[in-house]
Amino acid sequence: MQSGVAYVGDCPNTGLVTEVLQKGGGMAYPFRSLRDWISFLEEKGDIAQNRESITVDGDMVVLSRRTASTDGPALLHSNIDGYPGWRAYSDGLTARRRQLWALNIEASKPAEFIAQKIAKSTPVKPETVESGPCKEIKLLGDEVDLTKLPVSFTGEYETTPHLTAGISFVRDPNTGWTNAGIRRFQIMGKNLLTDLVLPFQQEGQIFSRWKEKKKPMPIAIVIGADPIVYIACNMPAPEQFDEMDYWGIFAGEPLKVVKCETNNIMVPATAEIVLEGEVDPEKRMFEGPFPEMPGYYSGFRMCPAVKINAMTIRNDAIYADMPMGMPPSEGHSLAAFLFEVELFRQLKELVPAVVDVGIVSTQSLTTAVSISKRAKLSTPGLETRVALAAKSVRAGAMIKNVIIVDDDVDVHNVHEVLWAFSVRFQPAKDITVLHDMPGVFLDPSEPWVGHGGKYSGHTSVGLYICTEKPAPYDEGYKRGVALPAKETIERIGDNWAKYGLK
Amino acid sequence: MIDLKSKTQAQENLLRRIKSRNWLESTLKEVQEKYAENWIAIAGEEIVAFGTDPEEVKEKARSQFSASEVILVKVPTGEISRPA
Repeated sequence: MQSGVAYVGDCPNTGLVTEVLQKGGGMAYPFRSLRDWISFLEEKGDIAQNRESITVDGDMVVLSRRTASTDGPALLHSNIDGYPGWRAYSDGLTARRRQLWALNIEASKPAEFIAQKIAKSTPVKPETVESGPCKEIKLLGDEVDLTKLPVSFTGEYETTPHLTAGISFVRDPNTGWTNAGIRRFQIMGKNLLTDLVLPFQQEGQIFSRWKEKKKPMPIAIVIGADPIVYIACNMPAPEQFDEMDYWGIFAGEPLKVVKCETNNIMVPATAEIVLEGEVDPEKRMFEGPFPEMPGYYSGFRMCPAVKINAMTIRNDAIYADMPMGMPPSEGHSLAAFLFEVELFRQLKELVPAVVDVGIVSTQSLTTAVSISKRAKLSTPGLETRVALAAKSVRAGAMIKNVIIVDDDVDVHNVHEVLWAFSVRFQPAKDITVLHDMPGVFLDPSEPWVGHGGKYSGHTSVGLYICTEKPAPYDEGYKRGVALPAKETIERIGDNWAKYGLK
Repeated sequence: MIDLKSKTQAQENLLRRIKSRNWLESTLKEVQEKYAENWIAIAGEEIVAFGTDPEEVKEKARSQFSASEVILVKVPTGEISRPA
């Protein structure tokens, strides 16, 4: 145990350990603001401070893509051409190690850990406070000017840039339920945005209720918040469950929230930037093109217009960016992390022999699931059953390729997954193709079809059984993985730092 | 301190792009009729280059304008979908 590190609890079922980082007089978990988090990353040496001049015309995204593809540090830019004084942050949650730090967990199977934590916890409601740092500067009405924000272009063919790390907070007009989620908003004017409202998402369902009442939907858009806010708002939650209740579950204390200036929505008190507005029930504007999750552009869509009535920001606010488009990116990494949690939770309920779930690429389009080798011996066909279940549960709806591996393969390590694919898989007998399955309409490998004007993805699904098969021959050695002795692996692995490795 | 008062060239360029985008939206039908299947470069309220190869259109537009002043668009076909 390191000095200054206190272990505070074990997860009884897994023996996994959580730790609280308590630094003498300094910032401690939980991170209550983006600035707490940045300070923590500075101490860890895991954030690059860029003082070189960059533009918003893609520079930020090129740098972000570089760090995402090399498992590099988070980024903080402080010299943005045309936006004096602004800083811009990205990639805080791109690397898996930072995702785990943000949630304060050390776990070899984080999906299992988080699923268990949520199952055992009761929601922790946010606590309302009178005011907070997000109110340090208030711009109301005509003072609002979105062009003052250093919003970066993600792709060359965007007509105007999109907010990519904006968290939408909207309330159900009937029940008061608040839904929060990362959405994209395109800049359409000094006080005008579009909101890509999708009817199958909870924001879309709430919007339809405001439309029925012929009233604009109040909205708050938070840009730049502590990392738990970003994780919590992306957690799959049932209808009428406030995502910010997850914040309290993870942090062990309620999130502090303040009321917006122009509506009744509550937002994190330490948010860097809050845009308050109304989503017009009728007015639509062109949205797009935008670099979408599969790495291709979307076309134009008619999306609801959002009029921004107020903008409250912190002194020296930090703008947050979360690029999407071609993976890897922070958007993909964060989505993958939370897909894993939810897919694991749903799959484990159906098939207890599931050991872990790992997103291999592009949200969940290609997903690996490991299963118990022991259970496999006593359950013929277990691999296919798990693969079918993975596609069938709600969280697996987007899956196109399911790779089933044994539990000696780390599903979070693409090298190990591809190794299993290379040596434990025979194309002639280990692949099953399912036709006519629901998929993702954004997947460019299959033309999407629109039924009655509604979007509908259409795909085939590949089940790849990459588990070890009984040896057809005996070469004199027990079949196994050719590695140094187990005790050597453990002795070296317990002391990476001694050998100059992290 | 962040500067929320002065107007910079980057911000002016964004306003110009917003104007171009709005112009496209308001004139889409005419643009579709005249430039179907083409890429177009718009600066302000004017199509300054068009063609089927986006790289060529970009090059033509950039002989007159900086990249951040111009929007480059593939003219959409048919009606624009409306998800919600």
